[in-house]
Amino acid sequence: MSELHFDVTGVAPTPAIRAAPAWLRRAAGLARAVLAGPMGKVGAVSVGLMLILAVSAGILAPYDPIAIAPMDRLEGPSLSHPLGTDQLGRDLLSRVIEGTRTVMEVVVAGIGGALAIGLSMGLVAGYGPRLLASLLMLISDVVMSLPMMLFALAMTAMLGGGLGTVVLVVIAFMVPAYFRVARGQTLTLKGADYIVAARAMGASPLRIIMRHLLPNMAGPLLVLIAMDVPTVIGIESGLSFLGQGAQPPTPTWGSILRDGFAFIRQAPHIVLAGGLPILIATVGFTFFSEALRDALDPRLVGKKARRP
Amino acid sequence: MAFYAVRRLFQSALVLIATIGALFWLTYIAPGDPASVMLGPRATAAEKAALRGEMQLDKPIPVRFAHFWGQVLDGDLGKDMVTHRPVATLIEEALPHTLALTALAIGWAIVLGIPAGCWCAVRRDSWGDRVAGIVSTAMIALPTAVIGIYALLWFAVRLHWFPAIGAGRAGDPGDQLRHLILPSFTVGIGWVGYLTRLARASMLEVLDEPHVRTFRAFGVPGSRIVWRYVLPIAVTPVVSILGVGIGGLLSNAILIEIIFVRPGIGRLIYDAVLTRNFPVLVGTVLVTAALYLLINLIADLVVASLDPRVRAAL
Repeated sequence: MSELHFDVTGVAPTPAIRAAPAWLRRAAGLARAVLAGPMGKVGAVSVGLMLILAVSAGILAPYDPIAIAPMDRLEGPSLSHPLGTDQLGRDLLSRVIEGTRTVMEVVVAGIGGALAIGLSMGLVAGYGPRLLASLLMLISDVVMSLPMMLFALAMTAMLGGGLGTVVLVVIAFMVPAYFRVARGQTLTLKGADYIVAARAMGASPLRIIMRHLLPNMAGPLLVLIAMDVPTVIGIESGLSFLGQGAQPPTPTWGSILRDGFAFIRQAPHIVLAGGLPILIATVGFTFFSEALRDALDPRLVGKKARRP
Repeated sequence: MAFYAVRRLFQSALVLIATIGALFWLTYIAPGDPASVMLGPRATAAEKAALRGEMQLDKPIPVRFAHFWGQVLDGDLGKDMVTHRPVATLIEEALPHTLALTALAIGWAIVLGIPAGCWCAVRRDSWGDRVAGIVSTAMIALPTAVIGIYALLWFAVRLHWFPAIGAGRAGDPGDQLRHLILPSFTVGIGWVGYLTRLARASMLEVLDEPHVRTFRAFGVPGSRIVWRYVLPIAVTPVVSILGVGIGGLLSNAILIEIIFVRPGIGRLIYDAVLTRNFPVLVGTVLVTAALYLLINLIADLVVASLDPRVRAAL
């Protein structure tokens, strides 16, 4: 607690700090708090690595990730192919890097979709008629009361495999959590004095939502998003491993695992190459989300861990 | 309490009906015709029509839905489209494998997670506690597919410590258990980490209670306080959370059964998905979901009967 001190001398902050907008100062403070512990550091590094790989996959990949080279098939790691090649002679490093982009696209589309739908549903349930709210709660109870993999496989059986189906599975599976947070926060905040006051002064529901509700939900939602990233990666890699996610020749980490699993005895380097980025990403994002949660809400330190 | 149990049962039935209803409805928008898939490209139109009639694919969805539930109430889940064996028999054969896998995974979580959590709580904020905190968080994050494949690669293919695939010889419990060790550990590894954290938090809470302070003041030895007075109170909420975790464990079990080629429910569902074997898919989803809901309900009722505070809140 030595960092905690109170400014009693009345010295004004330096002009440079005062000039920075409030949100930037808050973001800088948050970043410092996240990076304070070992978990936050490891998490931030791996999250940063994944984002860099995803954004610049086209530049960083040394080979064409789907170019087949029959002469080089099942080669172990070497100088020209640092992670080796797969059963079709494709460079695994390039496939891992290109896969990072695909996985992150699924993460963004899945969580973004779930966030948009869950948030609107939650606001409607918090503001709208009681009956609609109960109906939405029932639907989210149904989805939440099924084992995820069962739900996902049933959906792929009905809709056919593919990354689109994976995104749909992620959205359907994650909407209830966002819905609950949004609804809970809406119900709690709706009765808060300052919101009642804003309403009395004639603020429209839209203004209250944009100005008061959403900024107040940002914290819990941010933590939820960070915690959901490893889950989405798990769903994507699980389904792609089962052949129900990315379809060949699209590389994702899970589809590399699938390719390698057939050759696990002759060429174990393929599954090692496919699994390692999954481990780094899931563990990294989990550490990051834990540090973020502790930084945003010190009351929750060490509590409410993400369920496996 | 009884009213609560009945309400929950009713709710569970509603969830099941909604789930199966959604499955039925989704067959309508599914690409591909199950009859064509099953009979292959050389089947004649008449053969396909006959099969569609047999599978009742030509009837409207509500009729099939009502018919299906009528059958379910008679204990009939339909017939496998490929082998023509009753789906109920297939599930009966597969279920024990999945249940054994899940139960053993819970066993790992309890046997490793709770002692680890207690150890951390007693040595709060020590170096070991901090390392264990990081390791257990990482264990929660590990995705099952990767852990399963890595474990198979390392312990079965490389070191030959355990058999790689299958469920072991029928009627040989020792062999079957050897085949279970690796898969069950990979299914349960996330819960080992999770229970470590929960047990630690729960122990710390109880250690802070006034009655523990009183024991200390009376000079009761530290180990006796922990074993006799703290652990029993701290463990109850930890074990009860396992009921909620069954869904996650079943999800992991599905993946692990496919990786380790075990003849369980996961394998059955996966094969049904690959062949669009609709009756098998619906039957297994129904039984697994029902089982999951039932276990959840039982877990909640057990907690309520153990803890008067929970009972009062129902």
